[in-house]
Amino acid sequence: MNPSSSAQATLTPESTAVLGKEVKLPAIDRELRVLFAEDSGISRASLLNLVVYSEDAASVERDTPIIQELTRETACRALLIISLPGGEPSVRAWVQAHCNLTTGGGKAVCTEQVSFVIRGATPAYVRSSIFAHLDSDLPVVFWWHGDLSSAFEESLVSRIDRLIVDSSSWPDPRDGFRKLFAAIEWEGSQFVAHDLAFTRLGPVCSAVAVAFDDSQVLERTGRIEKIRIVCATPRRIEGLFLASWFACRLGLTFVSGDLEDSHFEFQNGEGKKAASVEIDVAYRDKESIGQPILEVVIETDDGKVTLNPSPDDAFFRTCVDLPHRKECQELLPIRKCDDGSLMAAVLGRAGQNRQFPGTVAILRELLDSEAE
Amino acid sequence: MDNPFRDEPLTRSLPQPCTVIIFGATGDLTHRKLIPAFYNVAADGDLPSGLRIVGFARRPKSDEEFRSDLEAINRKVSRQGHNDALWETFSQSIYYHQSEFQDLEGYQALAERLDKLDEERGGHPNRLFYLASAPEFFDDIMLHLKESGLCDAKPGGWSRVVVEKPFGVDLPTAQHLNNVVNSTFAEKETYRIDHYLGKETAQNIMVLRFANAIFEPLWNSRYIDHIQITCAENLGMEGGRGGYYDKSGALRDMVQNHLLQLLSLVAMEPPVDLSADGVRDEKVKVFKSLRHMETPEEVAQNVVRAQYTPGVVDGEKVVGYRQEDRVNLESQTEPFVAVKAMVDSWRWQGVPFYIRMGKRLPKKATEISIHFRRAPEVLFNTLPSRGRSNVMVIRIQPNEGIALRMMSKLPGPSIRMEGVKMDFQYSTSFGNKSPEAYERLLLDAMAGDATLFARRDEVEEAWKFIDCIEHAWHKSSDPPPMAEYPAGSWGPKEADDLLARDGRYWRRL
Ligand SMILES: NC(=O)c1ccc[n+]([C@@H]2O[C@H](COP(=O)([O-])OP(=O)(O)OC[C@H]3O[C@@H](n4cnc5c(N)ncnc54)[C@H](OP(=O)(O)O)[C@@H]3O)[C@@H](O)[C@H]2O)c1
Repeated sequence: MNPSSSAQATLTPESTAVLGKEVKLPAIDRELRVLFAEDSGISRASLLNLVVYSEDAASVERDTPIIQELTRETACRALLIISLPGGEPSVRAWVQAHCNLTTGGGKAVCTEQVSFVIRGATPAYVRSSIFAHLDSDLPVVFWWHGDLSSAFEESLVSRIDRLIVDSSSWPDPRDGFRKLFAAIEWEGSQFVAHDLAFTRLGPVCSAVAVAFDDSQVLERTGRIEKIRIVCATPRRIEGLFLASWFACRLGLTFVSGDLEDSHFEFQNGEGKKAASVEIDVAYRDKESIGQPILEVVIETDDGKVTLNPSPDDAFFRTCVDLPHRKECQELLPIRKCDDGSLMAAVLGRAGQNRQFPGTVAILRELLDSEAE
Repeated sequence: MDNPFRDEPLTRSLPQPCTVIIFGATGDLTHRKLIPAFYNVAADGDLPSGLRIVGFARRPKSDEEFRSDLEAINRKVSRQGHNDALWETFSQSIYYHQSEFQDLEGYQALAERLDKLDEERGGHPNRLFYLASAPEFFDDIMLHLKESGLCDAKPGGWSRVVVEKPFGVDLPTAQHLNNVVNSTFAEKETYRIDHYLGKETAQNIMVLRFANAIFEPLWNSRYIDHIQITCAENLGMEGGRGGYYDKSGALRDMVQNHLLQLLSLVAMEPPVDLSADGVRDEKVKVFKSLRHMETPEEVAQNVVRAQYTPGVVDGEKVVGYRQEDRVNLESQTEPFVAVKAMVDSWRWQGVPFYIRMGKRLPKKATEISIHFRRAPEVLFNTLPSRGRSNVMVIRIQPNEGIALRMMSKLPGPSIRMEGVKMDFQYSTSFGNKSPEAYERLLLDAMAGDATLFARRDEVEEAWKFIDCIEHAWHKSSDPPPMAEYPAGSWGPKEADDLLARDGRYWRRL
C-alpha cells in the first residue's frame, strides 16, 4: 500500500457498486447459492480463504479488482472486511462472483467474494463476520492492510495460517514488528508471516543470488567489505530490509550503526576472524515507486558487483568488475511490484517463508540503532 | 561452496550455467519446442546466467539469421508471449555453427569456437549436448564428439548429453544406440527425454500416491480390480508425418515409452528416496515384472492392433489409414493398439493393466483410470452393476486433474443410487500457470537431476516387452490379424472384446 493514500475515503452507493449485490447478513449463504445456480456452465472452485482486512474505506474500490485478478491464478473464497470507526455498530454485506474462463475457453471457473463494511466495530464484530463465512477445512490467508490495530487479537489470529502485512504502510515500523512478533508467541498462533515490503525485494534478492552463482564471485563471498544500497525515497523500509537480508544470508552479526544516517557495521561470526562489513543505505528521489531498490554495490577486497534495474524496470543488470574480468549481463526479468502482483507471488509460492524471521530479527536491531 | 543467497531449503536442484549445443538446430524440434522452452525459462527468471546456446546444423546461416528464424517461430508458439526486450537480450547468447554431422573438422572448429566464447564472454566450461537430430546420425555425432575431445568434461565442469526419442526401434537398436551414447558419455551424464515425464500430472502421480495416506493402503490387488491407460488422438497423418509413423506404429511410438512410463509410475513400489536412481530403480522393477507374451497365440489373446477406415472426425470427412499421405497402401502398421499387460509382482497379482492408444479417435485425451473392486453386494445388491465401482481418474491431458467416482443415493424415498464425480482440475485450482514439459526437463538437465529422464535399463526392459509383440506381428508365420475401425469411433470391436472377455469394459471418455 502506498502510505500517502491512507487518507480516509467515504463510502457512497457508487463506490460500493463494485462489491456486487447488497444482501442481508443471514441471507449470505442463500444468496451465494442463487448466484451460482443461475448458470450451469460454471464450476465453483476454492483452494483457500483469502481475508482482506482494512480500516480504510478506499479499500472497497482498490482491493476488489486485486481480488478478482488473484482469483485467475488462485481459486479462493475472498472475504473483504472494511472496518470503519465511529457510529452505532452496524454491519452491511455484499456478495459477488469472479469468473474466469479456463484455457480453451470452455467452462468458466468462478469464486465468490463476500464483502462486509463494519462500522463502530469492536473486534468481536470483525471476528464473527469472518468466522461465520470461512470455507471449512481450507487454509486462511489474511492480508492485513495498514497498522496492526486492536482488531488484531488472539482468537482471530489463531485461525490464520498465513498473515500478510506491509510494513511500508506502518506509521511506526518498530512498534508494528513488536506487535507482530508478540503475536507469533501467542498460544495457538501458527501463522506464517509475510511482509510485502520484503516480498518487494524478491527480484533484487534473486539477482544477487544469480550473481553469486558465478564461481569467481562466489569465492569472494567471505571477502565482502562493503555493501551500498540505494533505494527510492518512499521505500526506506525496503532498503533496511535488504541490508538485513544481506547480513542474515552472510551470517553477520550487528555491531553498531545509526538509523539516522543509515550506516551499519556488522561482523563475521566465524571463529576469531572478525572481518567487518559496512552496509550503507542511501535514498534517492525517484518518481516511480515500482522497483524499490535503485542500486546495490557489493565491494570485495579486489573487485565489485553492481546491480541496477534497467531504466524501464524490466530487467536487472548485473555488472561484475573483477581483476581481468569486466562484464555486464541483463537477463533477470523484474516482476511487477504492485500489491496485486506481490500478493500473487506470495500465494503462488506458499512455503514457510524461512528467510523472513532471521531477516526481521536483524531489521529490528537496525530500527533500534542510534549513534553512540 | 554453497551460494548463501539462494533460498533454502531447496525443493529442486538449480540449473547451472552452461553452453547448450543443439545438433539439428535448424529442425522443427529446436524451433517449436527447445528454443521457446529456453525463452520461457528466461521469462520466468530461471535461466542460469551465462547460459549460451550453440546450434549445429548443415545449412549455411549466420548467427543473426539463425536468431531471426528462431524469433519468428517463438513469436507464434511461446507460452508466455514474446517480449522484444527479453528476446533481444536472450538471443544475444544464441549462436550458429554450420557443419555436417559426418565432418570431424566441423567438430574441431566447434571446440575452438566454444573455448573462444568462454574466453571472450567468461563463464563456466559446462557443456550440454542436445541430440535433436534423427537417430541415424547419433553414431556419427557421438564418434566425432569423442574424437574431437568435445565430450570430455573440462576441469571444474561437466559434460552431459540429452537424447530425444525414439530410443531405438527394438531391443537390438536400442542397445546399439545406448552403447554408442555410453561409449562417449557415462550413463549418469545421459538424459533420455520422455516429455510425458515432464508433465505436471505425471509428476503428481507420485505425490498423489505417496503424500496422501488414504490411497496407498488401497493401491494393490486386494482393492484394485484393474487399471486402464488411454491415449486418444483425433489427429491422423497430417503434415507428412505418415512417412515416419508408418515405419513405427502406435506400439513403438507411444506405448514403449510414454505409456509404459505412466504404467511404471502407477505400479511402482515406494522408492527409498526421491533421488534419480531411487525412483528409477523402482520403475525398472516394474518393467522387469511385465509378463512377456511368448507366442503369437498369447499376443493374439492379449493385444489388438487395428487401422482406421474412412470416417468423420470433428465434423470433417477423413480418409482411412492406408489412404493417408506417405503411408503404404498395403501397410501392416497399427495406428491403434490395445494391450492387456500383467505386472507379475506381489502387489499386482491378477490385476490387468489395459493400455490403448489410437489415432483418429473422437477426441484428444490421455488418462489413467484406477478401477477399484466393487463393494460386497450385500446391502444394495438388487441394483444394476455397471458403473458401480469406484474409479479414480488421473487426467494427463487436456484438463489435467484427478477425479473420483463414487456411489451416492438419489434424493427420494426409495434407495436409488447414482455414480457421482468429485473432480479436481489443475486449471481451476491453480490457474493456467503450468510450465511446458520441455521447460521443466531442460532445467533438470542443466541442474543434473535425472529423475524425470529414462535410464538405459528402463528403456531396454520396455523394449523386451514390446519386442515380443512386434515379433508375433511381423516375424511369425501366423501373425495375429489387423482389425479395423471407422475413423472417429473409439476403436475396433476386438478391443472391446479384449475387456469383455474379462467381464470389463473401457471407460467412456
Ligand atoms: N519435432 C518434434 O516435435 C519432435 C518431438 C520429439 C522427438 N523428435 C525427434 O527429434 C529428432 C529431430 O526432429 P525434427 O522434427 O527437429 O527433425 P527435422 O526438422 O527433420 O530436423 C533435422 C535437423 O537435422 C539436421 N541435419 C540433418 N542431416 C544433417 C547432417 N548430415 N549434418 C548436419 N545436420 C543435419 C538438419 O539440418 P539442415 O536443415 O541444416 O539440413 C535439421 O536441423 C527426430 O529424431 C525426431 O523423432 C522430434
